[in-house]
Amino acid sequence: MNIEGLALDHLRVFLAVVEEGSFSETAQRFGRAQSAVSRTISALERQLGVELFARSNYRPTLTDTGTALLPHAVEVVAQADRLKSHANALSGGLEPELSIAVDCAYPISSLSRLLRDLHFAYPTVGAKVQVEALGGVAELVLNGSCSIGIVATLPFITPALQGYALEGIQTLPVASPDHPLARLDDPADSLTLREHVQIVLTDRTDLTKKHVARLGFGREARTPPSGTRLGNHALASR
Amino acid sequence: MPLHLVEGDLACNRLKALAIDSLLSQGEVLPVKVVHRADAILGPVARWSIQRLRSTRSG
Repeated sequence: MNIEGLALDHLRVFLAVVEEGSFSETAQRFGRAQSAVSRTISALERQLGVELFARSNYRPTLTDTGTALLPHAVEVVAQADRLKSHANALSGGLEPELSIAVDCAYPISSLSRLLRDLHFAYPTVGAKVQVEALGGVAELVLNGSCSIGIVATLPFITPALQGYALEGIQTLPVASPDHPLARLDDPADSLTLREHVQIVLTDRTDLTKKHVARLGFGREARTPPSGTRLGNHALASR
Repeated sequence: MPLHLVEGDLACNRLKALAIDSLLSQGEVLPVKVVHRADAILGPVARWSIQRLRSTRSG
C-alpha cells in the first residue's frame, strides 16, 4: 500500500461513483471518458490495497471494505475543502459561493432580498441554499456543509455556533374554517385542544432530542418519537 | 404556523385563525438567528451576508 501518492481527485471520483451508482454517469459529471473513471478507481484500489467496488453486477456496488472506507474518504475530501476555503479566507480571496442553510419558517421574500443584494455586491459569487427545519440548519453549519445558517424553529443553539438575533417570526394557530375548533364560540382551552390532531414538525437530527419543539398552537410538546411522516411534518394526536 | 405562510389563506378564508384560551400563549414569535460555526474563519462573502441580514428589517 502506498498512500503517499494518493490524489484527492481519486477520492472525489470514488465519492462520485458511490453517489451516481455508475461509472458512465460519473464520467459525464467530470467530463471524462468512462475508461478514465474506471482506471482512476483501479488506481485508488491499488494504492489502498483493497477492492472498493464489486464489478460483477451491471452497476458498481460497494464492497464491505469499500463501505467501511467511505466515511474516511468523505472526511478527507471535506477536510481538504475546508483547508482550501480557510486558506482562501486568509488570503483575502472571495468564496466561490455562499452556502447558506435556511429554516423552512424563514420568509422566502427575505431570503430573495439577501440573494438579490448579494448578486449586486458580488456578481461572481453564486449561492447554494438548503432549506431545513429544527436541527437541520444547525447540523449543516456544524458539519461544514454550509458556512452560515438561519435558524428559526430550533429552540436553542449549541455553544459551538455563534449566533446573532434577527427579527422574529410571528406565528399563529390556524385551522380550516370547517374544523370544529374554528366553529367554537369561546376561545379553545387546553382540554378542548387535546382532542384534536395537531400538525407538528419532527426533527431528523438528534439536536433537539432532549428538548421540546415549538409547535403550531403556540404550546410546547415533545416531538413524537414516531408519527405519520409527511416529508418533514408529522401528524400527532394529543 | 408562521404568519407570512398563511396570510394568503387567511385573507381568502381557506384558513381561520383560532382563538385560544389566554392562559395558553397566543401565537408566539419564533426567535430567528443567523449562525456560523464559532471556530470558523468566515470569508468576506459570508461576513457580508451576516451583516446584511442583521441590518435589514423584513417587512
